[in-house]
Amino acid sequence: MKDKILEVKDLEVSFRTYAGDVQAVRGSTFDLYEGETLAIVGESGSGKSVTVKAIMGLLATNGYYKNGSIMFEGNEITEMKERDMHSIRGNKIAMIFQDPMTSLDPTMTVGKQLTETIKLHHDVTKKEAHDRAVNLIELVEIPEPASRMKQYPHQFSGGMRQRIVIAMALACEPRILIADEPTTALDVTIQAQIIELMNDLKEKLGVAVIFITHDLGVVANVADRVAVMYAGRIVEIGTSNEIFYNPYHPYTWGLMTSMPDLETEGKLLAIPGTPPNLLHPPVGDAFALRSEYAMEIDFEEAPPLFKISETHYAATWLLHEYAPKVTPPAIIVKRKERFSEVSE
Amino acid sequence: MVRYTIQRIALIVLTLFLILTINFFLLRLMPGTPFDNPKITQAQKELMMRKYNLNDPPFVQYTRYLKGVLHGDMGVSFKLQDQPVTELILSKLPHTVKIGAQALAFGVIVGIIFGALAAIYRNSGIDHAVTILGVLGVSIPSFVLAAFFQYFLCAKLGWFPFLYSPVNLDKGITLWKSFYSTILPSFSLALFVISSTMRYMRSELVEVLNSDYILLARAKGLNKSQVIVRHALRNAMIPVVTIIAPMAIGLMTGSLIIERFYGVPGLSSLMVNAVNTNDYFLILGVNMFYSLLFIVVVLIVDLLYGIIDPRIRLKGGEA
Repeated sequence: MKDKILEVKDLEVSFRTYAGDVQAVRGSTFDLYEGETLAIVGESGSGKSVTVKAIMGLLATNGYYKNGSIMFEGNEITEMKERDMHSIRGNKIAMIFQDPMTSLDPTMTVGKQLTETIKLHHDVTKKEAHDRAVNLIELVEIPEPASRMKQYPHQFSGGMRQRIVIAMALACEPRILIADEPTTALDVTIQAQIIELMNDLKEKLGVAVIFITHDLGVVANVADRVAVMYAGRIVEIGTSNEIFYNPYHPYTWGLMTSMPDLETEGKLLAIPGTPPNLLHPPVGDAFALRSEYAMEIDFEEAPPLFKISETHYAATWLLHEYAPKVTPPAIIVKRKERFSEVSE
Repeated sequence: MVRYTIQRIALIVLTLFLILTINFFLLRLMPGTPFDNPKITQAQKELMMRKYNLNDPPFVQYTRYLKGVLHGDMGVSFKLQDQPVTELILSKLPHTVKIGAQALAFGVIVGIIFGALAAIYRNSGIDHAVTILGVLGVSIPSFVLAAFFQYFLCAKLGWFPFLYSPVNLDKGITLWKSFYSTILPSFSLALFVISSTMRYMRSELVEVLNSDYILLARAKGLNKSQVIVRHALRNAMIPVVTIIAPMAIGLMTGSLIIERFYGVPGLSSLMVNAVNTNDYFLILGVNMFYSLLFIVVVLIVDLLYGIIDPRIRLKGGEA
């Protein structure tokens, strides 16, 4: 196995509001290895974005680290001063945001926004920064990079802008690239192009990627490993194949059965109910209320992460040795069978 | 950009022509003549009317006046010893422009700074103070403020002079002394500008600071002040620039009263007296200068807008 470059342990993040503390992340644990792509999937409000913003130290002013640790290059990010974070952000950990239409400064040329990042973290001359920026634009496959440098964001299309944002994120050759739903706001053909570009760049530059999305189709295309988040916790984590073809958590089952594949027949299934209110998170397993597999203990105590394989963990009491054996939904079972046929 | 500017200037000429024409005929539609003083006999009045050719048909008078204007002659004042209107206005204009420009510049700058501080330190003491000042500033009429200042700062404390005094080295009024006397009139006018700009700036900047590109700028590793200076302020200022024009109107109407309060020998007294006495050419002249001032402010604002916001920068000229 490759080296760990990021270690997130029992991370808890809350936001102070007038109604009380919203516990957006309630214990996330995962590692990121060099050069891999880890996808974090989950519904809106499951804490995916907050988790990565916590890694960047970019929580909103009312947010705070309640517990846990984020280790990066021997530094504890949760305890770092804002001043010290400046040399990490954009330099060692960079981020791409969801909506390229709004994530560039409309009053500054694209070139200036690119060179700004380069000059910030490297001691370079204007000329060097400029040449580097031109190379970056070339790297993200935008034609005529030199003349594009002088243009403003409104002269670019959505897909092109996202390429610029990616170029900006890669400007300082970061070790970790965090992509917060980078394709959600794009139309499908552009989505495919951006994903292809990101996969290429990952190969080329060897950067580790945390890819947040709620689109399982995208996950299948990009991820080496997948973490499933629900109500502020990572409920299952494993390699792509493990999550897609051999999931253990009832929530992952729900997610997978709500996604059609080529073999899907009849009606798609939806997960009943809505995610819990994180102002008052439920005791025990947060998914129990919506799960037909819930047991008594699910309402009393939150399940720990049970180890299924070296790479595969799931937080459900169903994996406890005393738990009754349950069969996953038919679709999951079928998929698993198909997968084992293919892999044999 | 150059072509656009030329077009706009051509439009200004057209606008001024229309204003002049409408005003000219409106004045003739008003009852009375410039010589309705009961002390004047009918014969004297007739004499005066002939002297100024006021008995001619209005259209003839109009073309004559227009010809004069084209040659830079805006007629003479009937009441002020036949002094040329242009000369009268030019002698008064600097005072009005000085006070107004000071008020506008000071108001906008202070407003932007305070508004920005309130947005940056949101929900802090500064923010609350700015909110209160903003409400007071827009709701207190400038003449109440002027009276208040004169009572406390001039009469009670004696910190400021009551009246405006133009530079006059013979009387020992230096540039600095004259400037000192403009502080109160300018500030009385500026409070409205400060509070409008401030409230606008605050809400715009709060919005900008919550925008995605600010988050991205922070994610690049910029510190808070770099983010604000390089990315936030300029974007927040775009909408603020648009309200400068309407505020300039507010200043001009406000100055009519404020100039009276502080004895500023500006356009306002000229205008009020001219209107009271039907001094046709003088009214026309003052009106035209007020219009010109306003139109020029609007033009400057429009050009500024293009400079600040690349999205509306005009075609035909890059940058």
